[in-house]
Amino acid sequence: MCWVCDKYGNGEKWYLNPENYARRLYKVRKEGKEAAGADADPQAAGMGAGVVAELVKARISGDLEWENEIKSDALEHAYQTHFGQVVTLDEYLQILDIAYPLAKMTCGCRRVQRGMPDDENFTCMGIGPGMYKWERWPETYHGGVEFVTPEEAKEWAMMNHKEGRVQTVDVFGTPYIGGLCQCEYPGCVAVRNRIDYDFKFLLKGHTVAKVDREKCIGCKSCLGRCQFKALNLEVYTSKAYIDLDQCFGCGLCVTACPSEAIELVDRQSLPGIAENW
Amino acid sequence: MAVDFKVLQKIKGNPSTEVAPERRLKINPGQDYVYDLPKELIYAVNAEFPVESLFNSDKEISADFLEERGKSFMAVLIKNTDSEAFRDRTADMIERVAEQTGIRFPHVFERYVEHAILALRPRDAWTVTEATTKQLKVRSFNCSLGKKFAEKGISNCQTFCFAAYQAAAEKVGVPVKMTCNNDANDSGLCELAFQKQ
Repeated sequence: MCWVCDKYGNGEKWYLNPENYARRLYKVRKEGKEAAGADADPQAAGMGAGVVAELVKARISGDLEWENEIKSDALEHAYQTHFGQVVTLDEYLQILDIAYPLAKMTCGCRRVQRGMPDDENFTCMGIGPGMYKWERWPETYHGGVEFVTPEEAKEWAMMNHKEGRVQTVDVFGTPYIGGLCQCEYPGCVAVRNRIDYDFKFLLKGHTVAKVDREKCIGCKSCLGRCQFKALNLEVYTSKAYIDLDQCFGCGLCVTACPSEAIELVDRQSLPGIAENW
Repeated sequence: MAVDFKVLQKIKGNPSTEVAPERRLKINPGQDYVYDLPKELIYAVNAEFPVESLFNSDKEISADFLEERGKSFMAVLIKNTDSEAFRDRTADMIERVAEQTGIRFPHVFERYVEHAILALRPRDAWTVTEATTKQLKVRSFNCSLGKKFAEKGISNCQTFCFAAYQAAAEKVGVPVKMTCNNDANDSGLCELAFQKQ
């Protein structure tokens, strides 16, 4: 279990604890700006997007201490407000039974990073009671929303997985989970900041992928699926090789393998990477 | 069920395609909606159903009395909260989503539960600890109503809540089974669980 599970898991994985998806629908109405919700834009925190420019400056200057200070300050804030963790497809499908309502929405990251038009960009999911107030934040819900049943959401999640998107849970005021992302490098701000800057707004998942070399036929189906630079083809054996230090446990390689040669194993079962979140 | 290669191969479709016609909701430019519960609703409900009436009555505070009061309170609440004067955008959206998905539990019901708490004891601390399509749990910390009942020697105060929420469930048209984990005398914690039947 990761540190978030220890604090908010109630004995299980924190993102499978229904309590972390529940929140009140109502409070007594406030006056003025707060009444309009302008103070609480769900995506204002931006998974580190606000401090990356500063981080780039620090990296160019070669001042490692400065870089680490920026990361540490930003993460301290992020872990109280807005961060994410990679989950497997099976976990994602379980979550769709314990969170409600479920609303397809456009992905802000892909819109900004890749200029994706709204009609081709319904790859994010807003969840929980906050979604009833989606109209408060027109920019976040650019393109509109589409409320779906758990069964429709599961079908949709599998389409996204098939298209090769990493599935994550996203916190909006720890430990409240208000979003389920499905994204890819380099579109996803969270994945990109983690891979390019080792900025841990996005935590690794509870599993890692392991190759059964007897079963692997070297078909390369899995290679293009990894968003985390963890998968390679071993030159001498023509078999898939997974760098466990780099693996985030998303399982995209597992479902791409026609030979069932890749499986997900519990991160905690491998002492060398057990605490590598 | 673990999803594997074979299962995934059978999945077809584009995730950005609309699930059903008219399902996609778009921003209404220039609209300025109001959300949350207005204080005036609390005043209106209290004018028709003063909390003190529960304790100052000449009648004995029996189970029947609590049940009758619970039903009356919810009738007053529903009349006010669904009125044009107090209906808010959250309520409209909850109803719209329920129409689109066919799922009325938990939120159509939960709205009445939450309004009941806010109208009766607006300063109390409480939270929702589970809200799935099967179960709703609402936890109160140090319920001020429960405390007052306890001072009068009444330990079955949940009868009042059950009757009120039963009336709400009937209004919504969703049968629910209710249980109460009440420790008002000791830790002050009271958790109501509603299971969709």
